Amino acid sequence: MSSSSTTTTTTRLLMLKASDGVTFEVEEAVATKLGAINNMVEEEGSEDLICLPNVNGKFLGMVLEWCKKHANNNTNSDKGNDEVNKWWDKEFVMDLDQNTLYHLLMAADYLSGTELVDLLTEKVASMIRGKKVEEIRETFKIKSDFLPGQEEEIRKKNSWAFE
Amino acid sequence: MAYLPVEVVIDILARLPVKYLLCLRCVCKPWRSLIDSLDFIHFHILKSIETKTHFGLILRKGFQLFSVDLDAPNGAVELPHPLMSYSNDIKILGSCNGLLCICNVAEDIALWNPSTKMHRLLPFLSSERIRDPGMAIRGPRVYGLGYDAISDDYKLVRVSQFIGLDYQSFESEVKIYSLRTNEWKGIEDLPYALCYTRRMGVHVNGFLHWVVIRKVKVDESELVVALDIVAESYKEVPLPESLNNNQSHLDLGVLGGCLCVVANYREIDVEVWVMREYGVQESWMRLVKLGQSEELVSLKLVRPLTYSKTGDDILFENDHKKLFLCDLKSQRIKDVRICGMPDTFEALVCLSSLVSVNASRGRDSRNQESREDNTRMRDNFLSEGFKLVL
Repeated sequence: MSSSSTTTTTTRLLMLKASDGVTFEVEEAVATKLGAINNMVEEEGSEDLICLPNVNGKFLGMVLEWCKKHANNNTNSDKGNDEVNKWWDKEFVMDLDQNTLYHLLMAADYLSGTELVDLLTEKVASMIRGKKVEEIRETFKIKSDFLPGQEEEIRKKNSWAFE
Repeated sequence: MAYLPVEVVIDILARLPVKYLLCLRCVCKPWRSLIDSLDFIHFHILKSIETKTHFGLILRKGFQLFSVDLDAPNGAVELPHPLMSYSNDIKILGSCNGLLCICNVAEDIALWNPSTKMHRLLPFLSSERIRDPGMAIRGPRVYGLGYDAISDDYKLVRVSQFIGLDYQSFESEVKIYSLRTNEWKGIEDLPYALCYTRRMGVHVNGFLHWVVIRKVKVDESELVVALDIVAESYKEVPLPESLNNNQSHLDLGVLGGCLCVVANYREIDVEVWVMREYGVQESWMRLVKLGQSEELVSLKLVRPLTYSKTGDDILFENDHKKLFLCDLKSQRIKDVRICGMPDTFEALVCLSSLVSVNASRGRDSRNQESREDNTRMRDNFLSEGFKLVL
């Protein structure tokens, strides 16, 4: 009982405010897993309310959920931790649709959540692997800027790669 | 996925296999420039090492090469190479960052990226000259392919040695080819005697390594010498303190980007050591100790190839006849059989990379395109020739 009260008193809570006004109360140890928040805490010190105008509540919530899980898993110095994290990461990205994945990736990148960005980029890579060039353009909203014939030339040069 | 920051796009693309990236070159001009850029090619290599993906096993039997995709080992498939074999053995002279250097009986040497199917033939290098033909005989000749990160250059090294008729004195001649200059030149002689003709120098951290002895003498302790690819100078690599190198024969390998030494104690015991921090003697760690066992052909040649994806096992080549996995924790051995694998082979692990074999790499892409076209034409010609020989 006494030990749990000491941990709660030493844990500082931060308020994170998303672009749509939704706020989250998070332990400092969890929020500082995000590089951007860690920097703000170090620079601004005493501020307990941090505004994040580039992330909306839904995705900030998801990012923080991921941070919380990883922070919790890392506190018990169990050997199986890595395995638990890996398993949990797999679950976390399993059913994400493309749109959610995109917004989550943008949020994680903005918040400098390096490990989370890693996880999400790997997921994107596995989703696009093997897609046709036209599908890739659609996915990434890219318009081809090749002159007529140029694309054909590139295709011809490495035709074996398209088989 | 509209408007992802460019560094995120790079991070995504760096996780894709080379063959697919060659297709993605025609998505748009910025992607083509990105995929062709030296920075991206380098980043792709680092990412592959970090995630332990895009590695393949190359198996050579005679003049044939086979490859096995280690990401999804479905079987060994023949890998057509760019040299005429004249029905003689093809030799593998070096391997570095996805490039292979191979040589045929006519001493044509090709620098070749099997993943992009690009290659270039090296300028002819005449055989070494014995300085005093009446006094010496030809000794070992070894090669090695290394990467010079300062000038972003790939260099092939040839070390030739002559043994005096007294069987004590020796001389060496060292030639080095630079991809940037496309020329061979001589460098400082290797002041050690090569122990035996191991197929190639082992490249780690910008250094090429060979097993050597100080003097040509029976029972001379074996050492590991490193050639600095940038400075083109030699130094000795400190060996593990508890390794008994006057009782054992040494062999070299690479595991997870770290140099490893295989100490073979008269074919009774074999130890595999890895130098976790390059050049630091205290960082040597013994990973595996193997004794004679029914599961091994013999302990004559036990060569580590790579860690498994989980990092729990090491894949080994044994006596050019079989592959096995050794569990690091239990030290237990498990046979590895791959469909289509030749009965005897020389094995090595090769990264799949986008590294170009053009000297003007990344400097002038238009120039590069036309060069590649020329290479392709030669490719077609040579592959037809190759079929005729077969």
